[in-house]
Amino acid sequence: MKFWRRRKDEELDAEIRGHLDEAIRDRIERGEAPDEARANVLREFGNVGLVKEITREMWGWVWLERFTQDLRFGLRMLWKNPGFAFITILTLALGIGANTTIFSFANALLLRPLAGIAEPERLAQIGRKTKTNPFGTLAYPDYLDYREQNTTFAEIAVYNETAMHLSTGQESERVQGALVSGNYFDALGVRALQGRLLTVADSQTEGAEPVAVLSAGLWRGRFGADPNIVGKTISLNSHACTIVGIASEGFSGTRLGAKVDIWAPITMAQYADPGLARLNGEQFRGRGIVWLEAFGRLKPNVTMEQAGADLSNIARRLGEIHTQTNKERGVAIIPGLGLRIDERQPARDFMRFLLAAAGVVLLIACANVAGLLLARGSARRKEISVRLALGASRLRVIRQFLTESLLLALGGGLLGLLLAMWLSLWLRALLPEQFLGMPLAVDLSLDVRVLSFTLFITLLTVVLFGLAPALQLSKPDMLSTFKEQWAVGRGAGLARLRSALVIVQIALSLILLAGAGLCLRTLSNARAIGFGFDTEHVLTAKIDLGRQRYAEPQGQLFYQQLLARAQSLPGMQQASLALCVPLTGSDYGTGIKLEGQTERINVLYNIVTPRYWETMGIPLLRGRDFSPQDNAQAPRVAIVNEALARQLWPNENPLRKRFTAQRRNYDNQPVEVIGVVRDTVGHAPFAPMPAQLYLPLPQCYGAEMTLHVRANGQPEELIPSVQQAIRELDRNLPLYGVRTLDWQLDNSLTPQRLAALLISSFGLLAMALATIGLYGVMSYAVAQRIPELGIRLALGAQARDVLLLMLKQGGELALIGVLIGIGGAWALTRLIKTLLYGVSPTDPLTFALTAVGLLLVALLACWIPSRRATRIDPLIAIRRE
Amino acid sequence: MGARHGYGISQGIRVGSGEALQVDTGSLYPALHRLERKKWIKAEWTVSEYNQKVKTYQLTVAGKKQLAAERANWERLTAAIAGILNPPEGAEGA
Repeated sequence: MKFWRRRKDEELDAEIRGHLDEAIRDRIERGEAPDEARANVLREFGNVGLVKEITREMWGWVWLERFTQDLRFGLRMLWKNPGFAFITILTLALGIGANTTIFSFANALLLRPLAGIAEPERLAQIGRKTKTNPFGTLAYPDYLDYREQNTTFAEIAVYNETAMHLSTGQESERVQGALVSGNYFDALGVRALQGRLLTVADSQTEGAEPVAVLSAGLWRGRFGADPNIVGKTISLNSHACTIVGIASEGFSGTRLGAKVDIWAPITMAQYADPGLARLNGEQFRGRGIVWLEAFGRLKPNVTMEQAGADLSNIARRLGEIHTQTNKERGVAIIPGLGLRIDERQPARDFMRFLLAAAGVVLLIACANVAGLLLARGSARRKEISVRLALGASRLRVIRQFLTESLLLALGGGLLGLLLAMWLSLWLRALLPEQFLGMPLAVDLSLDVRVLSFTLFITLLTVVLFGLAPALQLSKPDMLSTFKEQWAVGRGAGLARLRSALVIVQIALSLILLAGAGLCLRTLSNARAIGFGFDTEHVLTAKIDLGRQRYAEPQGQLFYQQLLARAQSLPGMQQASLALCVPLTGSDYGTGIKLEGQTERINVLYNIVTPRYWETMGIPLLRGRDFSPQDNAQAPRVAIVNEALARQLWPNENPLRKRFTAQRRNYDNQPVEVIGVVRDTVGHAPFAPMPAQLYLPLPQCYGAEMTLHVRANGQPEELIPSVQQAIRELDRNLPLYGVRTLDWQLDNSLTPQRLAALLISSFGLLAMALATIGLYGVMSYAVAQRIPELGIRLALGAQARDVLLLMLKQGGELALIGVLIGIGGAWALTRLIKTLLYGVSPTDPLTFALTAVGLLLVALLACWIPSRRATRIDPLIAIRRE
Repeated sequence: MGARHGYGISQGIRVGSGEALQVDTGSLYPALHRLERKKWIKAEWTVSEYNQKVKTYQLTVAGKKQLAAERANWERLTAAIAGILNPPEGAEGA
């Protein structure tokens, strides 16, 4: 190509040289002197370079050559102005990075199909539709009818997700499991990585064939990718179970955010789930027991509508036959797996909102870069007018500008992509697993969709920020335009628009930063107010005896032994058990009747063991604590908190008061209040402290309890010894949900933290962009006012005067922006009032600090270009006129 | 028309039109190179009478067809204009 190109060039040179030679010869033959002939010929011919240039254009590939030429020139220009290149690329990277990050969330939630599943577009979720529930679970007999009678699905499969206790003898762990119909893997088209997957033969008879399939992740993490795994026996909820295979890499079930690690045939229901075990197989026969999630694979050439109509017909027939259960029961299908129907709409709305916000950020970034380009363009006006004067077409100059813009955009896109990768990792670590009904624990890795999106918006930015300056700066009369501008003010409209934009940006960043400040003050207040107990040094961990098939007597014995062992561990101050942990969002209610009254009162209750108060640091105010003597045979006793005492027996001594509780084992025996404790928070950190009843574990059994331990030192240090103590009692019983109380507290503040995070990220982004925008406007202003400033300097103005003059111009913009921002924040921060605690939505201190901080940053942004104004050489400035 | 080189073509037009038409070199060479790319003319390097290497152009078969089509167009156009400028007897003032 290059060689060919050179030859064509040489040929063109030769052709034109031949033309000139011959013309000269003709003139000499007609009698002109050689010198005269030569001069005349050259005059007649015109601009040799230009003729060659436009002739070359006819060859066809010139655009490519131009492009590489422009590219090289553009790179040189950026290299020569590293500061300018850095700021523009950074601005674009912020905009593109924010958009890419949010798009990768939207991609993971809404676009990317689940791993390991074949032809996901032909799958649909199937749900039971009633008047109150648009999409519920199915009953097993209904499922069989749908599967056998439909004509539109190649397969319909069902599953029930339930936690399972997996033990290898040495270690036990609670994992997410799923009971699945035999055709589950076939319907999904999942392949086996090792061994085989479950088949219809595995789910023929109830309670038979204890087999299981593991996820590839569990196989690697837990079994060290053991190549001989197939055929090995594990304990699943204390039942021996044979591993028949490993599912293909990445496959983790059919729901986003619910990672399933172990699959067992649905016929193992009674082993796998204590709730199902209590039903004694009734769940396979009764149409009233709805417990199965369902999905199906469409036959080829069947549409979702046809499939929906087909199933609806079956549902109608079932309603006619089984009038008791199925009369009001319809069926609904939604295309695709991944998110449940109730998760889809909020996810879509939230993503749309975030993408819109990020889009605005990108637009602002582009406006600011356009401003910077204009400012720099004014410094390049000599170069441009020389190009235009030498015969470059306007199109050529525009192309040159756009090529430079493309370089900047590509730089911004690349940096933005890196930024997005880093941001995703960071957010993934900070965000909770669930938020607003959306699973956020999703895979944010880059894929083709994310990369295409980034490339698309990168190219879009070239048009957004590059086109207007290119058109403006390539105007043939630009030189005179510039001359006139400071006097006549042509283009003042554009400058005013950009000033307005900067004011809006400053106002917006003040509103956001003030909001972030309020959230941060709430977080620090939350720490200070106290929760009624001492969160430090306390570790909580859950145990589930129900899944291990403990009956109550064994369970009570286990709890006694566990506490005795835990109590004697080194570093342990106090250990106790309780049904629920404050601030975890779960609480339990029970009905009681006061002695001599018939009215049933609902109260929150917790089941605890003696010395729970010491473990939690809750003061016992009156009466006594539970004692080992308060066992199942002894009279029933209870402890109340102050709020419950006030509610039930206002202005009376609650001690010795009696009531009856509707609980198993209580048989209407009177329950006597033996103590009063201080109030504590319930499930939410800032809600009023609720009334609470405490019952002793020996009298009121719970199969799922939480061990609370108070350590002398760091509570995490107790984890191994507690685990060891449990293993010694039951090597198949896993300890799960191991958290410090401090962590629970932080976690309960997630909405505040997330709000602070989102608002302050956008606020800092807005501030960065506003600063860059202000910098651009001021650079342009200085460039425009050079002649004027030159005259001022020539007439005796000091450098300081000029600096102050320019600072005043920029400071005015910043001040207007800050004032509007304070007004806006005053009006808007009440929107986040519910998230705030202990601080007013119009807290003057927060507002003042934000405003002052923003003004300082703004002045810095003005100072750099203003300082340039002081270095103007008056002579040169005036000569430009 | 035989093979001609760029200078020859421009002289030919000048002389042929009785000095009325002068083709600007800035139009001539781009035009020749465009026609060459469209394969309506083909170029050849020959040696001139002054023993100089020159690039000469010649119509190809496709070029001749195109020329015939353009010429027919041109004749229709000139006939039409002639018809307007010299209206048939009696038509004027009708």
